Amino acid sequence: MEQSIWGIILMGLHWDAMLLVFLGAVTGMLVGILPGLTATMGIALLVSLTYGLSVVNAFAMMIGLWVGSIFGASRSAILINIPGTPASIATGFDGYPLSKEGLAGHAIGLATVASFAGNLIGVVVLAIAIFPMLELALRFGSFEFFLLAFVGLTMISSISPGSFIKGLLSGSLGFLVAMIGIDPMTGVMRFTYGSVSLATGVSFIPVMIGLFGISEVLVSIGEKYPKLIAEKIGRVIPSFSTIKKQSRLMAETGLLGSIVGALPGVGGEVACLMGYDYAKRRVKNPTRPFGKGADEGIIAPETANNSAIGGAIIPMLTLGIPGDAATAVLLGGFIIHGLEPGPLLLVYHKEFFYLIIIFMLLAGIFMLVFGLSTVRLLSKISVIPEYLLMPIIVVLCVIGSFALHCSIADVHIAFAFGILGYLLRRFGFPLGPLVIGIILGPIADSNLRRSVMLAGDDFFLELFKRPISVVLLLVLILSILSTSARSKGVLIKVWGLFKGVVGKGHLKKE
Amino acid sequence: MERGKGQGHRMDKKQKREIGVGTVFLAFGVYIFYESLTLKGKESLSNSGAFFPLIIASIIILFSIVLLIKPISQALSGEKKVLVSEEPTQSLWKVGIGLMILIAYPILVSNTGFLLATFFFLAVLMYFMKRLRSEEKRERRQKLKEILIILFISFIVAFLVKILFEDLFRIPLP
Repeated sequence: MEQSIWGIILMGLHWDAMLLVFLGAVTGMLVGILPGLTATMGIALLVSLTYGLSVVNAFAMMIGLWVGSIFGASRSAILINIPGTPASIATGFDGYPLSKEGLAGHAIGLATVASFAGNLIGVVVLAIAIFPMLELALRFGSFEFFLLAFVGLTMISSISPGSFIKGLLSGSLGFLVAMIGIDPMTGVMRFTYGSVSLATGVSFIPVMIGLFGISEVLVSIGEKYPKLIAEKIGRVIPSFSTIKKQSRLMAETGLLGSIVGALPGVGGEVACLMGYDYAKRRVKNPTRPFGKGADEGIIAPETANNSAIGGAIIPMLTLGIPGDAATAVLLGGFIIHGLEPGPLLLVYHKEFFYLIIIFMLLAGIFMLVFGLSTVRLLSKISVIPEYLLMPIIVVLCVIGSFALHCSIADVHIAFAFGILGYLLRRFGFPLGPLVIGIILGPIADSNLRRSVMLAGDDFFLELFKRPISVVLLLVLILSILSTSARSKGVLIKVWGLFKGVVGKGHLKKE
Repeated sequence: MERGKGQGHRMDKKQKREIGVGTVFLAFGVYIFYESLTLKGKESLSNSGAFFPLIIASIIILFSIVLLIKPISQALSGEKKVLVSEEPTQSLWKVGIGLMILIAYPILVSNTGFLLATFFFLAVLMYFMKRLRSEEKRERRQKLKEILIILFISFIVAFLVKILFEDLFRIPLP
């Protein structure tokens, strides 16, 4: 389907696509604002509701939701010190102290403008980097793809909360879940135990809904959150001089966030923390001390986490490797709508890249306008009590998992994975690697076997003969080694910060 | 004195928990390894469907042993401190009851239909969660008011969900 650029722009700016971007963005913003609902959960639920839509419209809604949820997550971080999604974990460090002083509007205004700037920077980086990356991706063979699958899994395991070993075990579980069903290379039934419904494998969406939706409800039932109190809002729109003063920091942290987001297995939360850490090192004279309401402490993480979206799309579109759990679910959406992730996707369906750019920009603009104009209204939403919210989430989980094949078996799968997700979280196993494992399992399996078939006894020799393979092997080794040398360098500081925040028990979400 | 004793006991429990988790994963890895062996057909191992699951099972076995080493060595040396989950303390009985309500929902949907099942499910879970959150004792009148509000919200939500998804989005409901 080769189309002219104008045809693609018109397609992206068609009223129904624009309306769906808006709807997705607003829904995402609500998902982000409500503590306990993550962007990943929102996308998983929404993907299941887009079956009836055309591919373009489905993507309009999903991209809108993704951008909106990261955008909205800063609200609850600022207002009640509970980030709506982990990607806004650092925003509350300085946002909440401002909120307590009745300056919530100022903090929200800054976060909104910074998020918009981050979105723009992410789009620019995506537009510049995607085609050189595609050139590189087209040189990837089966050796590189199976190594890349392991690199993605190792990287997400190394930055996930909890121990690295637990992350890898969680990822291995994901690989095994992906093995369920008929082996496409030999036709052998794997781990189906005679069940016909498992022959085609476990459906991705019910698994995601269970892992992120049902498990979240179970966690919520089991624990007590602090009492939520609405704060005074104050002035919202930041002055031009403030924006101008912070523009350099926005540009720098935006670039940093895009690069971090583009690393396989590394997502918005790491970008957010690295952005905050960068601002602390770089800004010598913040508006207030960091941790006590510094403007820079809000701008840096919000720019970084939003620009990470653009970065995360690069490996997703060119290599079919998800950047984080949210991207993994989005990739699942690609597959549901008949698009095979990987380098050939962009070769044969280049229009999707341009459409994603258009939808991201539209979502950013909608969020800026809608976000600034509805601060007071949306602030009230973050204080909706959990006892009302969580039961409704369960109903949506049931609808979302049933809608895929109109099968109650999918609902049971969602519940089974919900219980599994809860147990894993309870024992300190991160869910991100599990999701990445499910997505990367088939890639790793088929490419590893193909490589072994091609190289025969010279498998390891062949591996070291290929330059990209050697680089990937080095990255793999480095990412494993980095976990044992956490006490040194920036990574260690970020990790400690992250663990410190999560360890306080405010929030631990995937 | 009492506090110190309790703290020591808690650490022991955490060590036991880590050992338990490691053992479960080890047993699971061994089981998957055994199951994977049965997947091998007449083709060579690297071409068979058993190849990748065998690798993954080996990884699970290896890492679960690594997971076990730390708490076991600490327990043997009498050291109390161990790295464990940072998940806030969860009340198991609350989760257990919540889980039963959750599991009952799809069963109820299959028997009574979506609307009625959703209404009952929402009302029961909302009331259960509300009671979990509130510490103070309430008068009978207040309780009755609370129940009526929850019933009203449950009805409205169930009805809206049905209209929104079935009629507006044309999404089939269970």
